[in-house]
Amino acid sequence: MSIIDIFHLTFSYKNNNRYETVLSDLNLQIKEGEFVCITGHSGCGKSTLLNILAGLLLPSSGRVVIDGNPLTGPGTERAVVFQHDSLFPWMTARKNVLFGIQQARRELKKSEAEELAEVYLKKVGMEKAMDKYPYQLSGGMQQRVAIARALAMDSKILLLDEPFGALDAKRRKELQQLLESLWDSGNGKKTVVFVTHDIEEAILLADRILFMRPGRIEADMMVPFSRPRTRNREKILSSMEYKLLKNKLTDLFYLDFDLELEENEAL
Amino acid sequence: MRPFSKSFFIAHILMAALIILIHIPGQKSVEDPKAFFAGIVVIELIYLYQLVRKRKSPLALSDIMIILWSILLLWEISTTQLNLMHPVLVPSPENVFHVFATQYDVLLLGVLSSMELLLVGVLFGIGFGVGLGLPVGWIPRLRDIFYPIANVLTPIPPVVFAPYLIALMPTFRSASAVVIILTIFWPTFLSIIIRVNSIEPRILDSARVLNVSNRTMIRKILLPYVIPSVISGLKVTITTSVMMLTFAEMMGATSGMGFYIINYTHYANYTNVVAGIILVGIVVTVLNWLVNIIQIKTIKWH
Repeated sequence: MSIIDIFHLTFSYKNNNRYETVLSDLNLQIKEGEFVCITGHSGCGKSTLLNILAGLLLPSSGRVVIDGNPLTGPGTERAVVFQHDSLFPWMTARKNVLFGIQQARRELKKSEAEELAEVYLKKVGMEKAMDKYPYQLSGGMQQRVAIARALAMDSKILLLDEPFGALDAKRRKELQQLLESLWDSGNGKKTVVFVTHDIEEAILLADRILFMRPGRIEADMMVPFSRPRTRNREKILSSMEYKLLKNKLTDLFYLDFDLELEENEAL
Repeated sequence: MRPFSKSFFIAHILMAALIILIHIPGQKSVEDPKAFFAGIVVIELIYLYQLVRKRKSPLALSDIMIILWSILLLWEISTTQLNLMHPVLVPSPENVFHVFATQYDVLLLGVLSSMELLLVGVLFGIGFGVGLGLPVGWIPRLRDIFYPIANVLTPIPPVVFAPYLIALMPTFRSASAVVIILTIFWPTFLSIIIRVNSIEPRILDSARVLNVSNRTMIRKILLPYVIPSVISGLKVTITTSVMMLTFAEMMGATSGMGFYIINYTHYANYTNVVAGIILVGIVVTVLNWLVNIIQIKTIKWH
C-alpha cells in the first residue's frame, strides 16, 4: 500500500513573464516504510519535489495524496530536515527538539515531551550538548539535533533534503550509520524520502533510487543489499552488485553531461 | 597594553594645571571650588578605571582626556581666571559644579520624574509597537491595511504634534507620556513589520513544516526573532525619547530635567542651565550604558 501517491504533478513558476517548468507530469508511488533516495543533477527538480511533499510549495497542477489525504500544505505527519539551519537559533538543542514534539504530539504532557526530547537527543549522541545553542554546535551536531527532532515528532514520513551535504566525509559516514540504525530500529518503519547527489550515499541508504532528469523521473531502481548496510560499508562497496549499480547511476549522470555538451556544440 | 603613553602624561599635566588653577584666586570671585575639584576627581577615577578594566585602546582614551581637560582648562581660564566672558551668559565651572553640590536633591528629583515618564513611554511604546507589529507583519490582510498607514504616519515628527497633544490632554504628565509613546511606537511598529517580512527563509520554512499556528508563530518564532533588533534599536530609541521628553518638559511641565533647564532659562540663571545640560548628558550616557548591559545579558543565543 502506498503512503505517497503523486499523479500528473506539474510545477512551474513565473520568471520574467515566462513560465519555467520544473516538474512536468510526474507520477510516483512510494510504499509505506520504504527508504527512497532521489538523485540527479542540480536543477533537476529533486528539491522542488521534496518541498512540494513538505507542503512548502503547492503543485501547479496534478494531485498529491499523503496517507489517503490530498496534500494541502505542511503537516506534522511529515518531518523535514534541511541541508543546514533547520534549528531555531534562539532555542537550545533540547528546546528545539521539545518544540518539534509539542507541535506534532499535542496529546503529550509537558513532562512526557521533555523526557522524550532527552531520549532522542541521547539516541543521536547529543547527551552532553543538550543545553547548547545551535551557534555553539558544529554543522554535524546541528544535523544530529535536527534528526532527533524529526524522529521525536514520530511522523510517518521523513523528508530529508541533502541532510549531510554540508558535512565532511567522516561526519557524513557517522550520520549515515546513525540514520540507518535509527530508521531500522523504530517500531513500524518510517517512510523516508531522501534527496542527495551522492551516489554512494544513495546506494548505501536506499531501498529504491529515483534518478531525475529535469522535470521527470528517468530511472527507478531497487537496491538489493540486506540491512544493516552502513556497518558493512566496506563489504558492500567492494561487491559486484554495488559496482553494477554505481556504474548504472554514473552512466545516467554522465549521459546527461554528454547531452549537455552536444547541445552546446550544436549551438 | 601601554597605558603610560605620552598622552597619559600630557593628560595628567593638564589635569594638574587645572587643579592648581582652581586653587588660585582669579579675576572673578566664584563659589567654593570644592565641588569642581570633586568633579575632576570623579572624572579622573572613571578614566583610570576604564584604563585598567577595558581593553579599549588606551591611547584613544588618554587622547579623549587631553581634549576634555583642555576644554575645562580653557573654560576655567576664560571665566574665573581672566574674566573674559560675559558674566551672566557664561558661568564659571566652579559655580556650575557648585550647583550639583547644593541642588543635588532638586536635580535628583528632576531626573527621577523624567525617568518615570521615560520608562512608561519606552515600555508602552515598545510593548505596543512589538505587540501590534508582529501580528500585522505576519498576517497578510492586516499588513496590507496597516503597513501603508504606518508608512504615512511614521515620518511625522513628534515635535510637530507635541504642543498640540499637551494642550489636548488633561494633565501635562499624561501628555508627555503620550508624546513619548508615539515617538517610540511608530518607528518600532514599522520596523517590526519590515523585520517580520524579511525573516530568513530557512527559519520560516523550518517553522512552516512544523505546521505551527499563527499564535505559536508569533509568540515562539517571530517574537524571539525580532527581540535582538528591538534591543539594539533601543539605543537610538532612548536617545530620541530623551530628546522628546526634555522638549515636552520644556513645553509646560512642573518637574523633570527639561523643566529645570527651561525654568532657569526664564530667570536667566545660566549657571543652573549649564548644570542641567551637563546632567542630561550624564543621564543619557548612563542610559546607553544600561542598554549595553541589557543587550549583553539578554541575548544569549548568538
